[in-house]
Amino acid sequence: MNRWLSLGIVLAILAAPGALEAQATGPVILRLTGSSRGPSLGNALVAIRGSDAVFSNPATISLNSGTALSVSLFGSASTLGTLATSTRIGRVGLAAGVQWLEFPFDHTVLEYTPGHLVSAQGTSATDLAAMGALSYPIKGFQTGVAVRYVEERVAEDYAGGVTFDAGVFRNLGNLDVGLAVQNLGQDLESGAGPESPLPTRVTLGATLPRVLVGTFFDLAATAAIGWERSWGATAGGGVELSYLPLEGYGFSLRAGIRRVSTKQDPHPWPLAVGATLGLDQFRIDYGFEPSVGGSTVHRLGLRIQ
Amino acid sequence: MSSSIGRLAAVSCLAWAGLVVGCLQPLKLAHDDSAIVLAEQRLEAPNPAGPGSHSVRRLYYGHGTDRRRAEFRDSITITTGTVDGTKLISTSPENKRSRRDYWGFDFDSLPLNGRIWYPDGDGPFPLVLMVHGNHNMKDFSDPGYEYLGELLAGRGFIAVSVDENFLNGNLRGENDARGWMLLRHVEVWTAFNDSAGGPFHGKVDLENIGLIGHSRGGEAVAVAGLFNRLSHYPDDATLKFDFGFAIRALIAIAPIDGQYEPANRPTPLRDVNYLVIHGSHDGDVSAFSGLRQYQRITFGEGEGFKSAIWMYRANHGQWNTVWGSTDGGPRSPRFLDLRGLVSEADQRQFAKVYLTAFLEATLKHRTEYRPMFTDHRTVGGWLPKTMYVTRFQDASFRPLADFSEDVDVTTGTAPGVRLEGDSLSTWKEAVVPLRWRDADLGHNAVWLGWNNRIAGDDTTQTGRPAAYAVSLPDSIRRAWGVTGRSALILSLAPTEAVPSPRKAAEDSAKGKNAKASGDTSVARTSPPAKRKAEAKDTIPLDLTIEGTDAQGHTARLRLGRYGTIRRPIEVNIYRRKGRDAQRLGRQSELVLQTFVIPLSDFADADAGFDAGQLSSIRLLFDRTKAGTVVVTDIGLSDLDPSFLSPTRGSPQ
Repeated sequence: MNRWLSLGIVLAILAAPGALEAQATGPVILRLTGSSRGPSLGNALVAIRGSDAVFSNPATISLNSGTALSVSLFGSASTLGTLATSTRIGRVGLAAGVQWLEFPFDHTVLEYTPGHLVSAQGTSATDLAAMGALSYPIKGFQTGVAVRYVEERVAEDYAGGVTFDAGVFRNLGNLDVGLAVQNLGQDLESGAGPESPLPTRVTLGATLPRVLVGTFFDLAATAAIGWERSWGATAGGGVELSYLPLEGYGFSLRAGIRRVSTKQDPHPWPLAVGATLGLDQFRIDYGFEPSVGGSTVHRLGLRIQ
Repeated sequence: MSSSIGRLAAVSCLAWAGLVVGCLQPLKLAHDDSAIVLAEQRLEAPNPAGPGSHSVRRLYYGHGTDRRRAEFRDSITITTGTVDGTKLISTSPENKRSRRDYWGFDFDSLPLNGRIWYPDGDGPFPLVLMVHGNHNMKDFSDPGYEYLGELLAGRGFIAVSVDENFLNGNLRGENDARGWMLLRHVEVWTAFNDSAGGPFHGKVDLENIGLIGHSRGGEAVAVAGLFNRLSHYPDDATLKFDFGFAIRALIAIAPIDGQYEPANRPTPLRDVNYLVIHGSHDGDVSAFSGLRQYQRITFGEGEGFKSAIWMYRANHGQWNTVWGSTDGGPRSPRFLDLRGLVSEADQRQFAKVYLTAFLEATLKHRTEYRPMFTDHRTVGGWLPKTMYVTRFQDASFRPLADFSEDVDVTTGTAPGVRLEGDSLSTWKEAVVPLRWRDADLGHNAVWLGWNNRIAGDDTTQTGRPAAYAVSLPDSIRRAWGVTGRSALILSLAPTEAVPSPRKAAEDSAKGKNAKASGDTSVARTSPPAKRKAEAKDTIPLDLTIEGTDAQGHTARLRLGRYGTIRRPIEVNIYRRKGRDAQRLGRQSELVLQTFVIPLSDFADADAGFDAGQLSSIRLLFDRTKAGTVVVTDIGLSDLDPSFLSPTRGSPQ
């Protein structure tokens, strides 16, 4: 039943783009990945297992219990902090996540995009997204739903509302496949702008969690395609090579590429790289992506499994 | 700015260097005494690992429709049917479906596939079925015993490696099906033997059948041994059995135990020869769980024996050429310390020596190989140079004390047998633990600790040696017909525990009696002191076995003459420091060595000693000042002399 419901939602959204294509969406925090690994995997996180999965696909939250936190520095202009935790009780997965963004809001920009975050001009603004998610297996599928409270504050202006995510996930032997619909809900009024629709997106992705490429090396790969309101088609993917010399110790390098919508202006770089240092249940992630105007984005994360 | 970047870089480099250094784990191996222990080849017989006199032929039998196994589809000489295993296997509908999708058949139509190595000759030849255990079901396991099949066929056995790959993978509690399948294969072989014109017509010695199983297959052979004598499946009596084959020998290679329990009870077995082997560095079944089944083998009247051999530095998979060294799958080198393993060739050499000798002894009734099952030192020339521990018991063994009958530490197993400790620091009975946390042998033993030194400044002052005595009444001696041909058998292993010096006073164990008798020579031990970390005692431990006859004549023998008394061997299966203790609970496996001591040796040591009048046996802790040993299965046996080592070393 849930599969049909999910399919219906997807079809409804796919049918919508023509009418909404030209509209600006907001707030910008809904367009940002909650994972420090995100850009270095091409933002193709819909079929990725991890304690920060709550931000990408609520169906996968029960697959990795743990906590993840990260800080992203967008040049010297903006800072994004995230915290996510997930656990499993019986067959039910539970997760909670928070994203907090401080950035300069430029009133002259019609549609604010991640590319704007590195510019240091504008009014001080904050975005907050707090969410809770629940997952449950149904007939071999992991299914999940999430509810998110989102608000944007620009100077004295405030706008807030509730959005919803839904997702399914299935392991097909060596392949993990995920489908998520995110940012469903009523249009929000941006902090200092006119009412704008949510950046609703639907993403279908697959992940090869780990392939042995030598006694001490594993290779993982992920890819996703989708559609995002206002931006249209999205695509991305990444690979991660891990060196695992001893149980509990891991060193990983990642590279990701994503299609950047021509509607994004300024245009962020499509490439990003990252690395992870793992010791037992701890993972320290680092991500780097060049951005507009010679600026860079650094992401640092800690995952505790 | 540049200095802060420099500091960050330095800290990062240090962190990375720390992690890299952390990944470098030294190889830890115990001191190897094999150069001494295995210095001699005492047994004079052809090496059982040597090729036999028969030329070897090969063929396949099977259902002929196998989607995945070309040899059982295209190369079969004899076509067999399928069997319905639905009453013995259960899994989720989803799993069932995915397995059917892969194999092309369901549990109701399991094929009877086997690869045969057989001698070129008229026979009849004993039949030996070998079965693998659980492994990746797509990485077929049955070809991995070719080295055994070739050897056995050359030596006059029909060897069959049975295909049960379709029971591998993600099934649980299916070892009953694995055992039952083996019996269905034996059924097929009775038909082959009866089939006029067939390649095996009249060539199969169906009175001498042996089963070999590895891992889950090791438990399956025990299950087969049990089902062979039952009329109904214990967990669903609507499934009737009608086997009753002459299965004389069961061999379990690194078996699991208790994955299947008939009617929720451990599998009992009676009157069947049993051999179990296990490696110290088993990265899959990391405890010698086959010893549980070993302990559950019982004998009635008649012949038969059981033996267990523990091999240091052997792993789980190298007994099978397909499985190899990586017990935990292809990523094993990341967590298992494969550097410590004996070579695959050496591990299989051990299997060839012991498995073939066991089958020669039990299916062909050759007696010349029997001593190697009581004492591995007899075949030092045949064995790879590593350390071994041997357990043994024969059908005529009768326990004086197996410590499992009650909670009274002063009474033995046989009626009237009394147990007495003298000057012991530790005297307790408990179940023998396995290496796994919270797992045990299901069999009890006695812990005997002593320290002959008297507490005080004078470190040379010692009391009289501690002792532990087993007294047997006349009635037992008469009823059992104890004679000079009988043998004393016991199993013993030291532990690392070393009690504190005893206080100069009375005996803690028999203090009351000592006081009453006015005996002031016995000592009382001081309470166990909190021991500081100190270097482990590496001096070999030994003790004296003292026999006393009804007339009071005593004779003493050194226990080390009859086997190797080895302190616990620390085993590191995992590469990462501390993982063994964390995952398994114990750093070493407590495997007791069996000592077989002919009573005639006591008479040889003291001419006045009358073995037929044996009244007590004492373990006299006079050769090592302090230590603790675990002892069980103290008893007497009318052991056939062919089991005894041709030479038994120096009496003193």
